[in-house]
Amino acid sequence: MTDVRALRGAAAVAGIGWTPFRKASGVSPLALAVRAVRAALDDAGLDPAEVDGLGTHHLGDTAQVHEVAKALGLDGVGWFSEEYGGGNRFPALLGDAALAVASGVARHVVLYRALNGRSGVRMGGATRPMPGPDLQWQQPYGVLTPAHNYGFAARAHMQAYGTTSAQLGAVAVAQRCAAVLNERAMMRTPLTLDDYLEAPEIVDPFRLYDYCLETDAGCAVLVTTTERARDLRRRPVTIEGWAAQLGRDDLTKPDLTTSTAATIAPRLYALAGRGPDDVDVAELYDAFTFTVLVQVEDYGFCAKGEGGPFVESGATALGGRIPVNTHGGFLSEGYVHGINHVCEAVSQLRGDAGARQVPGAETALVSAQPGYLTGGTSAVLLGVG
Amino acid sequence: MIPHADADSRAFWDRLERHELCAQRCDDCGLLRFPAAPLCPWCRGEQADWEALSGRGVLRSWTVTHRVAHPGFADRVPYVSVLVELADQPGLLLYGLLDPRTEPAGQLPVRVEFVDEGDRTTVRWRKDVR
Repeated sequence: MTDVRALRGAAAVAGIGWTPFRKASGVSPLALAVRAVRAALDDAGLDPAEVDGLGTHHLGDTAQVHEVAKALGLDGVGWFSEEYGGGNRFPALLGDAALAVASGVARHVVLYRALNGRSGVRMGGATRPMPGPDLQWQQPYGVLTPAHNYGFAARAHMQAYGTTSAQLGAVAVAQRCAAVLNERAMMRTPLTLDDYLEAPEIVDPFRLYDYCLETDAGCAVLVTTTERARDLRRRPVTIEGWAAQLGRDDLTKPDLTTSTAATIAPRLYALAGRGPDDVDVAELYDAFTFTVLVQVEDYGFCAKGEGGPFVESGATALGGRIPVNTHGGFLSEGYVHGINHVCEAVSQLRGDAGARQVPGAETALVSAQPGYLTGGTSAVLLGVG
Repeated sequence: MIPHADADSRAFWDRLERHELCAQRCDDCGLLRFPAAPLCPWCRGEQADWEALSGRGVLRSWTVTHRVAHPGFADRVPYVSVLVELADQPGLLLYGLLDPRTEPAGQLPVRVEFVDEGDRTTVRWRKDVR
């Protein structure tokens, strides 16, 4: 393959699956994983015996690929990827799977993420699930949870651009409006800006509704060639381009107000042959409200520093100029570490999203954690096959 | 409360116990680096010496923690954690706690203090009134 652009649209998502989103699943991460994988295969109408690729990423909190293969009785898995890593990984993994099927190394790859994020290993608790030498510079100073790391970035943005709490709140309110229309969402009670502002401060600048939801759930997607996907049950959703980057981390970044998303956006759009104006719907990693605000800037939906007024204008709500997190996102649907954004984008591009459908959606952007903490991020552009 | 120092950072914590805030200065290119690392990120030189810093900087950002589950901090709320850019070299950043008598503000000049608790020494920052 001489030109990477030949990969544009070569692979597709042919099936998606979810388990219910719960605070206490009562089952193992393995059970969540295999249920999600089976749901994605049922969606596509593919026999599990046809699966020859499996991939996931994790923080030591999930079922490993060999366990999933054993549980499903899969004897033909010849491509597998199991990466230790967090929210910056899933779109990159989707790109890896696209390479695997486009090259013929694998035919049908299932990617999953399954975790008991509330009843099992919690990311916002007293300990970090991802230990490392970086923590020695943070923990002695009470920098203990992801909210602290993202909170420093949000504060820097507020200082530099006059971004307000009400603008962060606009993100939470818009996404809750979408979640009200989503039967899978964990939080479906309408939320007002007053509710947001009156909620307790946890790690200022963040209040309760700035946080995503610790969730027990599994999701899976089936990736195959676009050609093969056309023989399956559902309309293929094509992988038009992706990009990933290891960037500077929070202690080596010169400016916390710009994320690594700004670094990958030009490469992503170039590979896909599309630009921000072509994006009909965006599922942007929302561990906290702030990550949406910084990414609408860094993916080019508005100018740097304009993210606050942009989200406050309603541009990112359903019916707005660029609807963002149309399922409610991690803030209101649930947090499955990135993959549920892909499932929602696929639903939107198939025209399956029911009451929250963005009319005529043909291009979707799905992003990962935009690079705070470790510096790494990834994103994918999906289209209609 | 403090995760164990590793082989690369042990000298930093040992010197902090003696109330010296230090960073590595690269023998090859002469630039400072922090956090502690086995290699210079600017020139990739391997030799470095630990050098005492000025202990002065400016606040780049901060958080105010009102609720946290960690047993070492749950009863200390509210507390202010800060990100300080050191005066010694642009882009040299480290976290710390803010002295409760100092009101946080962007670009506030701050000065280091050393806090000994049990067998640990950590840094705390306060407004620099120099």
